[in-house]
Amino acid sequence: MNMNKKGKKWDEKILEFLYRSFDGDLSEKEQRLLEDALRDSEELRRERAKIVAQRQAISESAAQSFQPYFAERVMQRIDSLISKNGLEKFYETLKAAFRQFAIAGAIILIALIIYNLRIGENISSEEIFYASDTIVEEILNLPLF
Amino acid sequence: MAATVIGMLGYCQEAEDVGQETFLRFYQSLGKFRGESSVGTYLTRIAINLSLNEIRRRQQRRKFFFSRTDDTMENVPDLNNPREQKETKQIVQQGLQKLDPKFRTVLVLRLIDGYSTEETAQMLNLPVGTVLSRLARAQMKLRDILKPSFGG
Repeated sequence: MNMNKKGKKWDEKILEFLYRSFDGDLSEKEQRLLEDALRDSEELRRERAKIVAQRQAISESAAQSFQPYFAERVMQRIDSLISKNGLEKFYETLKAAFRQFAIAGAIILIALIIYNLRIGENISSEEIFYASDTIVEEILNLPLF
Repeated sequence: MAATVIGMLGYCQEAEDVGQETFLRFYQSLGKFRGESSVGTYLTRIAINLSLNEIRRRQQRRKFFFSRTDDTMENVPDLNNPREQKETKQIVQQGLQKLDPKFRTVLVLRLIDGYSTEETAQMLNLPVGTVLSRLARAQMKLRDILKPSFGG
């Protein structure tokens, strides 16, 4: 609790009004109470001056910039993001295209097998793939590398 | 933007990282930016959110390593020590770092970035009344923190 020069008490509420007054949201009644307190109290006026100084100090404490070459570092990160995105897009396109070809290929293969099975009499690789057993075996036995 | 991030986190590597991340996020969300607010406000909002995330991470790290629950920065110099008293700017910056993030955020937006109380409220999704009372309390708390450095 603080005292003004007339011995009247100005409490935390008045102090809060004082702080809030800088952002302009006091009601008429609050404004009047604050003005009365300010008129009566030298201490409160000093308090106001200190608040002004503190607000100014806070405003002036604003950093102007980051460390040198900040913009270049940001651009580097954006560039790497773009190239990463570019590569990812390329793989995605490749995957999508491959999926379509793979599905189409599988459908054609199944259709051929069914067709060959229907027109052929025996179930052999020659009937199914229209290739002799020897060729199929040779293909299957091919070394991978 | 530097003022916002450094105001929230102090001069440190994390502030630089958050600064870079802010621009990256902005770049990535350019498609979603509808121009309802200015670019500056949009960037500030991203910067504030990322700074608050960073503060939360700091608090978690501190809890894990030091079992401390207060919000004061581990590396903030003792303002009572005359050898560590540098310029007013630095002292105020250090004082800001000792404030609870919810108080620090309104001070940074209102007094450092110069946004109006309405804009600050909008950015933080808070009622204007809450912003105003936080502003008043933040200044009172900062006053107490800075008292040893600047006197009563």
